[in-house]
Amino acid sequence: MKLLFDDALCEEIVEREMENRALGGDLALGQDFRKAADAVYRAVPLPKRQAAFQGLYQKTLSSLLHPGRLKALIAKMEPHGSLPASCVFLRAFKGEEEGAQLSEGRGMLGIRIRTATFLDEAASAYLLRHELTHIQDLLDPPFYHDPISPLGQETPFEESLLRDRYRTLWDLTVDGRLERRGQLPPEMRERRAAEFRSLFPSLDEENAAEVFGVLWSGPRPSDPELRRMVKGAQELCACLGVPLRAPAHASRLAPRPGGAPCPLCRFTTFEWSEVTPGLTQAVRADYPAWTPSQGLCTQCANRYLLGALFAPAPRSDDRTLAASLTGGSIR
Amino acid sequence: MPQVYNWQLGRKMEYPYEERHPERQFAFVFNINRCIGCQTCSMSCKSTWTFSKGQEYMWWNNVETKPYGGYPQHWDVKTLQLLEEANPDGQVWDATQNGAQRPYGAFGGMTIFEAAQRRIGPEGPQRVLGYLPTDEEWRFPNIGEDTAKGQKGAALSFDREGVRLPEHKSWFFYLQRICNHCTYPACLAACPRKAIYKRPEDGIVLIDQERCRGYRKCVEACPYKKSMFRVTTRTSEKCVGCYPRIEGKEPLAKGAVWETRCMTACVGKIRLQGLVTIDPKTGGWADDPQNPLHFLVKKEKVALPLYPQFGTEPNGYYIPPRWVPRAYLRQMFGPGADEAVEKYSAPSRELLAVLQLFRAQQAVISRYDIKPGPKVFETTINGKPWALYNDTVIGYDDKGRELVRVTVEEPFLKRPGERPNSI
Repeated sequence: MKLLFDDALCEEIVEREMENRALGGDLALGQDFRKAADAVYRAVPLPKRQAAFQGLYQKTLSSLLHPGRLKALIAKMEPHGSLPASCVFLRAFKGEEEGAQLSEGRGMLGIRIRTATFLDEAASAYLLRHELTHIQDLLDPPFYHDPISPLGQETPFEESLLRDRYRTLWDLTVDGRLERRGQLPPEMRERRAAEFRSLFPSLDEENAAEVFGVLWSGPRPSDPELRRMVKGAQELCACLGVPLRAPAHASRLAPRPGGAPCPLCRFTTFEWSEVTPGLTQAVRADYPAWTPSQGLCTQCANRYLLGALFAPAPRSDDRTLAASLTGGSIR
Repeated sequence: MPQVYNWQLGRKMEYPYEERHPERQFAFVFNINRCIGCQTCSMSCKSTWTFSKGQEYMWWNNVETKPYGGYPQHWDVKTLQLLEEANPDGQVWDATQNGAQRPYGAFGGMTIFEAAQRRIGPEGPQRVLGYLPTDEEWRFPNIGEDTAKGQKGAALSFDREGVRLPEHKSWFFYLQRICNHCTYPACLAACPRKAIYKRPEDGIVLIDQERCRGYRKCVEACPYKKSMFRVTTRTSEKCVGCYPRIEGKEPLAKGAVWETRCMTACVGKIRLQGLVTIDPKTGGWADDPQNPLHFLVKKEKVALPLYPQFGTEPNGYYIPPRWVPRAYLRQMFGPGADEAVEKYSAPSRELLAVLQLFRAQQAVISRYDIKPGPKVFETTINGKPWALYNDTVIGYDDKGRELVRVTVEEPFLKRPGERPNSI
């Protein structure tokens, strides 16, 4: 596979590498680079300077060990024949921006990666293996990947929740496979389990662990199977053949799943508010039939909390107000 | 290392070059109390100087919301932290030692030049203590806009008493920033190519684009982070103080010295810029009591330098926001903050008149006069009697020509009943 590096990422990697080496007492790379850079300032006309520097950074990067290390890692991916022939590395600023994407014609692979991850051998190896496994799944015909159909039917909120679940379930099946190959960092299993639990809160702990275990150790699900599983805990358990147990606290919990409409404003919400006695009183002034078990979204809760704060406040007279603004008394 | 006198610190300090001063110094006062954060200054600068390829993230003038905003992000906190690490618990002022030569007392801590010698890198000690912001930190020039500091331990809570003077508990303010054209520029000190120079005629600090070789040492060294790297030219660039205007080459000005683009564009009338005469014997500001900048900074002491403890002797001065907790203001503007807030809250007759000169016109005011007017209002402020006089303040240019004449009380202009353009 041919590896390409976006100029911003390339420059940052080279600069960071020079800095790291200088801190370790090795000034040679920085001095060589500076010599070459000075030549560019002297000889290259201003309009062509940026391109000349991009070339210099690319040349310097190719002289470092990192591209070769990544190339070797990709070559070991099985079955590597299914991957595109070239891969471009782009700069990510944050961890959540890191990931891989195929070009429209699927002829090129793009990987977003932070400079810090790139320079960290273990972290970059995990990121690459994880993302390339996703890509291999995606390109594998029996996965039946459907890039067009939405996951949900109703609202963007629902779509967003289902997308999060889809991503998490797929991630954990990928990491399960990496663990079996001995290629998973030790902390990842627990992290995936926590992500899984947060997206299926209606499963009790034991049930969640059972479902997670099946997904983690079982065969890779296909795209249609994943699409069924993300609909809810019931569908997930049915797909995996795990019996669904009602959580012990189910009777205490009102049916307030993420993405359901708030009973007051009717907007779908993923943020349900805590209900305090003061809030109950304020809401009931407008909605006498409302009960705390029906819940309310945080926006509505804020509206009633602020309303309660302002309503009974005694008004300052103008003199006191003016004095408070000027920090003194006004005649 | 040579010793130079820094009057803002009230003491001599170490600096890589011998002490040398321009004939006049570009300086300015920003009244933070009046800024509405409209960013007209930022846009006027951008559309004049930094609209080209490679300058997309370059804002020579920016306005950030304090305490959380910053361009680049956390620029001040990071430098303060570096200083604290170099000199733990030692960054203190002795405000009791104040006098004409040391208006804010004496700074007992370390400047960025002194602390740098404690940071030994592979190439020896640093010249200036600093850090290079990441690309990510430059990405959001107005991050944290209008985000207030709330009550401690009660995030997102509503505080009925939050905005009571003298110090608000829930607060933010806008900090307007350009290059301070420092007396002892850190960028100049750090440049390994000697590509940065301070003009002898007006003290404006410039980067010679022919000499710059993109080491970015100036970006790393400037504690205010007002030197910026441009990827297309691979050189550093910074605010040029709109020097053609200072040289009287603005076509509209017909030879007069005009204030910079960011100053003249200010709709909130918070900015006043000019040139102060430097005393060749002392290197400090010459006694020029009728210069409005001299009055605000030296006589009234209502305008203060930004982070004077960095040690660069910045030539930008700020009238601190009067609602902000004093400890924060002392950290940002030094020990003069309490006196400045007190004076601004109950302004003297002369101060009130000089404040009317802010953005009264576009040319640089070198001298002012006040014609006394009648008393029009009286009250008590902070328990003391206070009166308002409708004085007239007159501004003159450097050749003694009258530029502007304004009264303290805003004139009431009555329009005729019918006008062709009446709505």
